[in-house]
Amino acid sequence: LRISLTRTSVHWHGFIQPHNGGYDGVPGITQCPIPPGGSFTYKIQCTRYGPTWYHSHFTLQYGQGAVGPLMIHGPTVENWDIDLGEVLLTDHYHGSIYDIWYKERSGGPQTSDNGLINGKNMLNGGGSFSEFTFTPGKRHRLTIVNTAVDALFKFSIDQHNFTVQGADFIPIQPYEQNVLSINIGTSHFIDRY
Amino acid sequence: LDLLPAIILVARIKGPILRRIPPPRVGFPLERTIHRTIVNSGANTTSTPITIRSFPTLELFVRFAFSRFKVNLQYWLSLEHATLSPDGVPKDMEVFNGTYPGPLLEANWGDWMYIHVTNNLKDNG
Repeated sequence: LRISLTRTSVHWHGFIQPHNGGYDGVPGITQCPIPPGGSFTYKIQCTRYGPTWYHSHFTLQYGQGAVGPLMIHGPTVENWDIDLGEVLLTDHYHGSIYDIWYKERSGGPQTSDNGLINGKNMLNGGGSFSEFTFTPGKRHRLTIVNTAVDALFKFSIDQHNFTVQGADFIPIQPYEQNVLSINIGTSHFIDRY
Repeated sequence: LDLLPAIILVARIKGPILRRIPPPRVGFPLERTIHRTIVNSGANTTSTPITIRSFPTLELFVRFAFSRFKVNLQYWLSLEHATLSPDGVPKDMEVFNGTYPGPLLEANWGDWMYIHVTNNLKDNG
């Protein structure tokens, strides 16, 4: 039996999809996977707003890099001046994620080789950092999304506090924090002066 | 008066699609309080009440009153094989539109997104 790993489907994380479940992008549940060479048009309405992400929902394909940021603009709890965009946090494995999965089935959770911010980090002098430019006196908005396969992140900015404004499409009473624990799939609005 | 819907439609299309929507006024009609566990940097864990604000009802009504002039956004995604080096070590990846992470998709609250996904991975049977 040979199982093709090159089919796909795309899931829009966090969308409730009222009366629209056929476009949720879960293969085997709401649609057949898209075969190689095929295409599919998703028609989705943004009934809620906030930062989120989209990813392939076919086997472990999103661990191979099939992820991206998705932003639904809407009212925010507090004002801000500069949008620094989405910050995708993820764990990173140098080997194929499918090999990692076979190791994990017998040997338990595998240690990731690196962690990435917006798909960038350094290792042994190679690679580069993601850079964000802050302007003094202005209020900046960052949206943090954890797109990891198997990792919980604690997000912090050295020697700075920030205000958490929302979580998973839900505006919340803002609170001041210096470390934000963020689990897989969740997204947070934060801003800081 | 017959032209009014058309004028509004043109205004919505001509205007900046991704404009910033001003924040709602303070004072929401419905509020409820939940307890959220906050893990601090140390070992101390606190549970703090947080008020969740529901949708501002008037704004929701206005949005849906005009929702027949719906905004359709079109995006194209192509899933491809690519050898990228996120941290300097090359890796054979499967990414959207050749970049990692994929392109940013943006919309406004209430918009419809038409996202055309093409699977350009090679057929390995």
